[in-house]
Amino acid sequence: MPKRVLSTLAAALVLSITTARADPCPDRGFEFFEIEGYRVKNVRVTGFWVLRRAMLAGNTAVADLAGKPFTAAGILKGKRALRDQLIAAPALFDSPVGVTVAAARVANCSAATKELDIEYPLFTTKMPLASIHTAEQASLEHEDPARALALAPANTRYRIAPMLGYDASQNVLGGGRLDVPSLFGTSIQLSLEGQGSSETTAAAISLAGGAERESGWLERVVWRGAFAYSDRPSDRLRLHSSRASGQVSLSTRAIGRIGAVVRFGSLFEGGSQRTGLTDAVLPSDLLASSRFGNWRSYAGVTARTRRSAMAASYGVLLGRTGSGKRIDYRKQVLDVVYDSRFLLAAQRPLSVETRFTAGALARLGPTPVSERFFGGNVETTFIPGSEWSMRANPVMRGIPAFRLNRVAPGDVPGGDHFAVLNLTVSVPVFGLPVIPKEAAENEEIRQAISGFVTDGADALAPIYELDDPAQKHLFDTVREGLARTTAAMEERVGAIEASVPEALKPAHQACADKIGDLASDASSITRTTPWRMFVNPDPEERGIPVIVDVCIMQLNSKLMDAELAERGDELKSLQQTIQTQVDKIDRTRARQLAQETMAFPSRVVQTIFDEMTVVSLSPLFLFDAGRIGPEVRGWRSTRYSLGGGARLTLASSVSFEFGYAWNLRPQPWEGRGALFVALRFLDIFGK
Amino acid sequence: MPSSNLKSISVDIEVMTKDRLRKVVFGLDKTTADNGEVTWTIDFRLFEREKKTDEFGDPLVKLDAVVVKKANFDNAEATAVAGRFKPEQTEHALGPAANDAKRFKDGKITREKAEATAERTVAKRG
Repeated sequence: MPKRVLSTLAAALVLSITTARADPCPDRGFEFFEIEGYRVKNVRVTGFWVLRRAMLAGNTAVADLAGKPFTAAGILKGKRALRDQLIAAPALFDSPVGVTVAAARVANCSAATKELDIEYPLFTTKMPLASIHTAEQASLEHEDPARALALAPANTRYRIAPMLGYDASQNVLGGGRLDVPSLFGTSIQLSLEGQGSSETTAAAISLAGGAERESGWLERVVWRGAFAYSDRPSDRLRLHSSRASGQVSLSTRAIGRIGAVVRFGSLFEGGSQRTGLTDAVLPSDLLASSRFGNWRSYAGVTARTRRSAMAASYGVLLGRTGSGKRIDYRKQVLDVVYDSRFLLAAQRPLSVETRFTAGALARLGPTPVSERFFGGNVETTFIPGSEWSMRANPVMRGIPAFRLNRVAPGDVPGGDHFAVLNLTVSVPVFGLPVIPKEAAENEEIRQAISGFVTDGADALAPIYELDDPAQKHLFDTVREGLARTTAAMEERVGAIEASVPEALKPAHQACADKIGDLASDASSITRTTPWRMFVNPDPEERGIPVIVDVCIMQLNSKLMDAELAERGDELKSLQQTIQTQVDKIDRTRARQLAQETMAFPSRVVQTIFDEMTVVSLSPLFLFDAGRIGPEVRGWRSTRYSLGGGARLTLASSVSFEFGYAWNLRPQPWEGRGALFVALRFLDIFGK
Repeated sequence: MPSSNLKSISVDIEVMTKDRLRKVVFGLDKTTADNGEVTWTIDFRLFEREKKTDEFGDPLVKLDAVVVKKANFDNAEATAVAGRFKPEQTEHALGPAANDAKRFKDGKITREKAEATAERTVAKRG
């Protein structure tokens, strides 16, 4: 294992486990410790460990404080540097609102040695509104909260995620994935993925992109083009394929109180497959080797509550092998996931993951053998490369990969239909919170975060008002007139300056200031400019009522300049038009939309404090039940797997899972059970 | 905020326009001196980008360490404790405060005027 992996893991464990047990110092200001001549022994950043690591790396303003005399300016300069770093920290998604809390304090003061430690508690988060309602996001939050909720700076240039695994079919398997989120500065993501062992080779390259819409029922569109090659073992054949594909997936905005997201998509692919068999040993409608063209269509719904997530997906594949028929085979797959968590104690959630998958293949003409169902302890997906997880084969963890493929020994490999239920139960026996206890329990930090998460809708409501038709009407019909009139009025106020009597100079100056402000605001109106500010009567501001008062009532009532009066009349008319439209803005609806948008993300952030763990060790209980067909008289088509294992997770860094599952009704080609080992590095390497 | 040994705490509130081309980070920083005297300062940063796919990069305008008037302390405290803006504050931050920050950058108004407009974001809580 490379040196960097070991050092990163070691640093992660040390940072995670050694949360600062800081003894409080006298309740005095920073100047006190400077005057008393204290020296800084250690400098710590507390908070989510990935954030701590990122903040400490290369931050000289913080690192340089250690070992030097304590100064009030120094500790504040360090905090300033950390804030700057956090504000500039890249995230993988845009968020309409976000909050960052940074604090500074002294700890572990020793009056005898005149030493103290400096501690900076930090917390930051953003809301990925476009994906937060999906079951896949729920999984990502537990596995990689840094990336899912922007709890730490993201690697936005490239990310490398190595993996290591083992199963009896594929042997020891190594590989990884490289993502370049923004290829040559565009919004296109490049991904390269590869896995290899003595038995398996798989590689894929893809380009993907997408768009998020600001309004309307459709929120997200994602496209992907890919080429994939794979050569995998089954017991009697090889599953060898190469394919090029193009896909597009769409998802709606969250619907209803539960926030369900409906998604659908389509994928076209073409390529070739071969199995190593000969057509002579197969029925006439099965092809050992062939070219193929597939059209996959899929739809589903996903939703989550604070402690559960569900996703139901249905897909249909229509394929042809060039036999002359329009469709040679049709495959249908249903995949339903329901995961729930029951909080037994702080950072001790009992997790119950259930999944039901079923599929059926109809052979209407010559059909590739590899399109049949091959099951075991490795999953294949219906939508390759997509974030949308839709399983497409029978997963039985007691059977090595792809060996669950027939009922009787002499059958043709591959199932025509299957139905499988998977159950995984886990509960951490050891867990450290994502936010160290000291930071999570600090009243001031907690209050700021709680305020943000419980009523962040306040900040968002004006942004939703910008979608109101009245707001759009003003942009389309009044913008130019307002810019023209205010510019003309500013020009006139400037032109008359020389002729203004001395006694009116202060009034003229006040008018010039205010109309200058308003003209500037009016000349830079965009679709995101809130129009209410133009009719704001607050004398501190520069709304039209203020300009009318200062320039017309107070100044021009004495100057009696005809052109200024004319501009004043135009402004009053514009004020009336704007006020009429502003009054039409449905503020209640905007507020409601903002509340609906923020309600769920708020609960997610709350969960970070109370439930999420940065390091957890969980025993696993596994149970699978399923059947595969076609049935053969005298042979059992049902299978059961029962097993156990353990999962060690270091949030946003490493996921390690191992265990063994018994095949309770084994057939000779399947084996009596299967060992599984999977080690994945999530986001350690990158930039 | 209640008394604690955190003698310096800052809350940075980030608000982005719906077209995702403009972002304001409004920071409130509270420092308590040894004699118990509290100082509130504002850090205002305006970010803009041409396209949604571009990085925001460095702030277009930075107004650092704008000292909050004592009259606005209660509103500063309320905003920081809440960790969020009221609607009027969002409107002001994305509207006049952002516009004046740009005008200051363009040399059209003084720093003091831009800072005063940024500070009025706090007063909008009242």
